[in-house]
Amino acid sequence: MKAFILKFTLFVAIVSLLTACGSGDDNATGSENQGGDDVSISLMHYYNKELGEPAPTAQLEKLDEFAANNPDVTINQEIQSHDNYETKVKTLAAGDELPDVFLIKGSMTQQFLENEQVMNLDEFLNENDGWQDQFIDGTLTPFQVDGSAYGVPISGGATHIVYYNQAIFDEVGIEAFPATWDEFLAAIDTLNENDVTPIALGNKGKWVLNSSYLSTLGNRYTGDEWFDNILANNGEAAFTDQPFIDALSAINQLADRDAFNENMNSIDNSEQQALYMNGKAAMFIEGDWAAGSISSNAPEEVLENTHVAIFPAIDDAGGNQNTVSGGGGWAYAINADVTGEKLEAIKDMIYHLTNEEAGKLILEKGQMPAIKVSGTEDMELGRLTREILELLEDNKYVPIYDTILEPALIEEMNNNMQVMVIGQVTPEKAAENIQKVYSK
Amino acid sequence: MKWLTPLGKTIVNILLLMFSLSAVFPIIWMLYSSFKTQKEFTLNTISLPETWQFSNYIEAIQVGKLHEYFFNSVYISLSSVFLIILLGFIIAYMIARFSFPGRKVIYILFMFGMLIPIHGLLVPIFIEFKNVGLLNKPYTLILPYVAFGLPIVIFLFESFIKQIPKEIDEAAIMDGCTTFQVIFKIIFPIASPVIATAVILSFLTAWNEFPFALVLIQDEALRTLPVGLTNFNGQYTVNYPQMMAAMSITVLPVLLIYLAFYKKIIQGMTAGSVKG
Repeated sequence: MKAFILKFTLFVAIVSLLTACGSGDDNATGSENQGGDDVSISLMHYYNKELGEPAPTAQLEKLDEFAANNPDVTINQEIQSHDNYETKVKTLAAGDELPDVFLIKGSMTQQFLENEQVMNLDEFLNENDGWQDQFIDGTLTPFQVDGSAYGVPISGGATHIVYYNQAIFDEVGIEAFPATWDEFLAAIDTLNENDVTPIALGNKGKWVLNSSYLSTLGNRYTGDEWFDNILANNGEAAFTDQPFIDALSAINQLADRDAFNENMNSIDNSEQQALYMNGKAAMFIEGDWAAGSISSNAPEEVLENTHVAIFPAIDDAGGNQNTVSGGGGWAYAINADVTGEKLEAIKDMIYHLTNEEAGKLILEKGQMPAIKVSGTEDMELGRLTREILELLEDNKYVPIYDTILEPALIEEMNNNMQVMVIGQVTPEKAAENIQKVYSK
Repeated sequence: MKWLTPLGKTIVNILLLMFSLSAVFPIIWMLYSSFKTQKEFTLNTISLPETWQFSNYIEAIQVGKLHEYFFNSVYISLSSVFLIILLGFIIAYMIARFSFPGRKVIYILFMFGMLIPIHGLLVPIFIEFKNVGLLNKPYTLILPYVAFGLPIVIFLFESFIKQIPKEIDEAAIMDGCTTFQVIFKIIFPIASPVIATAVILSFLTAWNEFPFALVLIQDEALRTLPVGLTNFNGQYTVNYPQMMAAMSITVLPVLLIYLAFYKKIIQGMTAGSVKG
């Protein structure tokens, strides 16, 4: 045993020696890139050209354009798939190995800031005339902490859009999309009587009910201030407050009326679209991104009858009724360690990727940009994209719960809603469970 | 089976047939789905393709960069398996045949390796590799794969070697074998069933491994197949038919290895599991 302890100590000593050498190396490479004209920027993102998704394709085109205009800047891109990107960026952050520019989600802002890994971008956003004000209200919010911004958002679509099939509505005698919540409930009954699934729901991934339902309904009932208080954790708001319970009850009400297909917890969001595209369901509720897959995959007769709406106004709810959950999904963040010439080049690059011109390109490809785009009337847009754009003009963005709140809390919300819609917990009990995790 | 009536036989056969269908169907489904268009797949996940889209395979190779990653995966998996079997066999032989102070401690330390969930070690190993400067090398992934592959293999080998009579070793030494020759000329062939099991097990783990391959490798030229397969997942869309085509290409080597070794595996499964 003694020999073993001796060997073990020796082993530890050798490892720590190697470690010391390793970190010495690191410092040497870190001091490169000072002086000299050529700048090289490392950038990590999840854009995949081959998949043809709107915003990523637009960003890649703008990146190529920037590289062509700035031959003295080299951009080293590390490309991960979207699902892997999050794991990867968090691991790199833990090892303090983040690239110069990377993408963050709203919920990551706080932690990256605490670790001093992201740069304060307030000055940068004010450098270009009025650039900061060009962003659509609510798209910068997820990336702000104490009023300072740490990310520049790219796309800023809504996570709540009701896609409905007018042909099915006509068949069962519903003339137009319901204007009040009560009419909406009545429409669901009518559809059920005619053996059509009113709303296709695929909540296997658990985020659909949260992102696309609760974030909007919650704000309708609670108003803006409540959520600010929740974020500030100042004790003035709780998830057990009646308005929030009412929001959960509203979802429960839909479930009680059999508004959803029975297998809602065992299919995912692409399968809910499939139900709709097969004409088996009259509606489905998802973000603006679903427009793309409907346009390319739905049969002709479904596509031409598809229109978009949002939840109708709710009479007895206390908040604003013309609201939609939405805002920035991903944003560019700059590594806090970057300085000098490199920083200037990075700023130019990010501006090029997120200014109005870039926003125009994102919109043309079929997604909602985070920046206001003028002159959309003259642009050639897909029919659904234009309908969504017009729909959003009259409505204000409110926070998407699951891009801002802490992961553990989101997990609790998601789990509770999943069992709530199959009647295993009441909205009151669900609210209590959520509050328990929140107050920890 | 003589005691079964014809009716009983039919029922048993139907049950077994259903069981094997449930095991084989996913692979068949994957194969024919890989020839569908994205539209066909979205509208009906089970139907047969209307027209056979062979182009899915070409696109899959381009999108997933399978031609590059395939070579990396083969190289890393085979090197890992070779090292795991070589090291594992020597270590297991020493532990099974010799008694020396600390023998049990070494054995238990290896067994502890089976208890640690890989995800818990992801970040520590990333930081360690970063500090030592082992990230992003062609051999980076082989190190953790061998380390995590050894415990189960040593466990299998050790219990198998213990069953082989010591007299065989003694006879070999009497005839003039060195220790090295005893291990590889005498015991190794006797242990071939359990070695086949170990080869399959460690090959599968290395071939499918994902978390380390994602985190420890930055360079695109060094990535492996499981990471490449996720290239078909977008933020909101998944191109399933292309992904199925890519998966069909990916499972091919696994099927080949299995077919090459399967007779031995069945012997090895029972051989390694029961002690004494």
